[in-house]
Amino acid sequence: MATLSIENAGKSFGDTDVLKDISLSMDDGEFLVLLGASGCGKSTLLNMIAGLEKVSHGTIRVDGEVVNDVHPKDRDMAMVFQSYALYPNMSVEKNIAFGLEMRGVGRAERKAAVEEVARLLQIEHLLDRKPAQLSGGQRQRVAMGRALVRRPKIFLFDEPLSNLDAQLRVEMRTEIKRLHQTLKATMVYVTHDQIEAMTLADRIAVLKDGRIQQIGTPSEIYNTPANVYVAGFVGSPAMNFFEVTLERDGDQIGVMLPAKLKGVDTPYFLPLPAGGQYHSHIGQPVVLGLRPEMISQATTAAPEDPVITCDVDVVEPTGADTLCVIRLAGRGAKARVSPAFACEPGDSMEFALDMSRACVFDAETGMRLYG
Amino acid sequence: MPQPKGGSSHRTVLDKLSRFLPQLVVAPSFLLILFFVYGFIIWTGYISFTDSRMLPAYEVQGFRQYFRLFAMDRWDVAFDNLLVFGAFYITLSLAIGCLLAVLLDQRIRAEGALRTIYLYPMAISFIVTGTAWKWMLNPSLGIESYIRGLGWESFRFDWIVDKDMAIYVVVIAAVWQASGFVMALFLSALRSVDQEIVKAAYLDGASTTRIYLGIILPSLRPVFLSAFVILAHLSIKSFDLVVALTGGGPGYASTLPANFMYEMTFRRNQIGLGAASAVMMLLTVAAIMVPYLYSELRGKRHA
Repeated sequence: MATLSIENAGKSFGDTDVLKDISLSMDDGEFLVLLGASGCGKSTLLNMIAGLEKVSHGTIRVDGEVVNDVHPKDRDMAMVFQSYALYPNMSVEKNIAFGLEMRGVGRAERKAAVEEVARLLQIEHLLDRKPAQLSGGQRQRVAMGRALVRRPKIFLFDEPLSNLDAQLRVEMRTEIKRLHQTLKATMVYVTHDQIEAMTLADRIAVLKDGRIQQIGTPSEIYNTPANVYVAGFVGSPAMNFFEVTLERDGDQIGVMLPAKLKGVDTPYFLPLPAGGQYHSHIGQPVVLGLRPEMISQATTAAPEDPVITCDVDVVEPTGADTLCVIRLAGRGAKARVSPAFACEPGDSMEFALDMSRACVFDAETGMRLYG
Repeated sequence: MPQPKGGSSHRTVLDKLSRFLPQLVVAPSFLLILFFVYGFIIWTGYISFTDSRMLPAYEVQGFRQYFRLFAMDRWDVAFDNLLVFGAFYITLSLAIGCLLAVLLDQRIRAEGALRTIYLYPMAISFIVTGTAWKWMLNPSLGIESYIRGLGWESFRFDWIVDKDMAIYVVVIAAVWQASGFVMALFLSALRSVDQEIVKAAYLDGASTTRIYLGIILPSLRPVFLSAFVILAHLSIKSFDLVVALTGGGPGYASTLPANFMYEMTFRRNQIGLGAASAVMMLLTVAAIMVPYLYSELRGKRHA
């Protein structure tokens, strides 16, 4: 059980800075997810926490003590790897017990610890097998068992589910979440899968090009993304972005959004409910971000939401919802409607826009304006 | 669709041809191997039961040649030499090759150049290796005279003319030649080891030595086996290195079974005896290859 804090940490390989000025702190028992596309430096950061990579700048503290130069084995952390990294020549039991053996734990004690972990992960019947005789999900459990058995201060996960098939991935995700709730341990989890991040995390840190873009709870990340990158990376299908200009209409501040109807662009003025705060930006180009679920059928929408009518080019049923591809401000946008209200492709229908949840970003810097 | 009659019969001929094409292509080499390898193995086996001397004779005499063979001191020396040579050659080549591979695996600079340097001896023929080592080990030309020239007058390194040590000279030259090759085998296998396993072991608190001895090298078991089989059959058929290095001498102290067979068959007009020694060599190879092939085939069927 431990706290982790990273202050201004950086990593350079020669002249290339892989990580720049990373600062974050974690409470005891927190589940932090490092989220980012491949090559953003998230695995490097995890390796630095583990001690497998040297820290070029800044400090990493565990329970307040600087661990920059502490050997990985003395940091009391355990890691679960993407490839599971099981020792191929050892039985499952030996795999799990290896860390204890290296730490000089006695045979009887080791056996008891292994059995306890095996029971927790329901792999008791596999203890005599070799890793090659296990399925992907079973290997995953053994890899977790190897981390659990040492009762480390901090658990590190490096994309542990990405080698599993879709169904098993969902299952193991729940399993990891349950483990976290049972153990109340501090965990750092690296992934590129935003759904994994949303479902598991207490807090998410979104990384891009070696910098943290935003740290926050899943709902903060989803509802108030710090910039266009975070807004676009989290959420599926992705947020729709429109390049528009902030305008005033009477006492309302809003944006002008052209919607394509019968092949012709028809402009609509969309007032922003909290428009007052954009006062100083009137006349400036901005990026309006609307998630697909913020564009929905007008029939069931709140009465104050503005309604637009436009052509539906493509209809994509996903089961629970149907996605309609429409054209707004000259580019394709996705609207999420209830299947009961979806029209045929080529027809036009009325959509209500939930402007109270819309995000407005600076067109130049990509940072979100207010709210 | 109706087709002209000529065309359809033409097609069936082509169809038949293409169906048997793989067999047709493989047939010549199959027949040649059947005749020249397996045919002559049988012929040699037959000759070993005859009283052939300068020319093959076909009258079966039973196991007479084998009794003669086992009674000869020369054959005893050759076979003991094979055991000594094989044991040292295989273990030393494996140990040195493996060690070099582990050292080269530490992501050192100039690895490519070093790898080539170590691998190069394998590209040299045994005759060249033997000749070069013969000069180096010659007491009045090579290492011994060089060290004495430096001032260490009592220095002795004359294994090549010592009848008890001559076979070890052959071992030295052969190990020099083969360990680079073994290194290349191990290095490529080490490279395919999942680096995350090393990281995991590191976090588990294992030392580098322990990671290699306890985790990585045991997972290279198939490479050990392949290297062992390759080295084992190389050692049994070793012939030219002895010819170039010691000429089998001093006396016949460093002959190997292959040299014995050549000596008997082609120089002493004892074809029957030579054939008997060849059969003994074949059985030695088979004793190694058959269990290996058996385990390989069985493993495949289970996988």
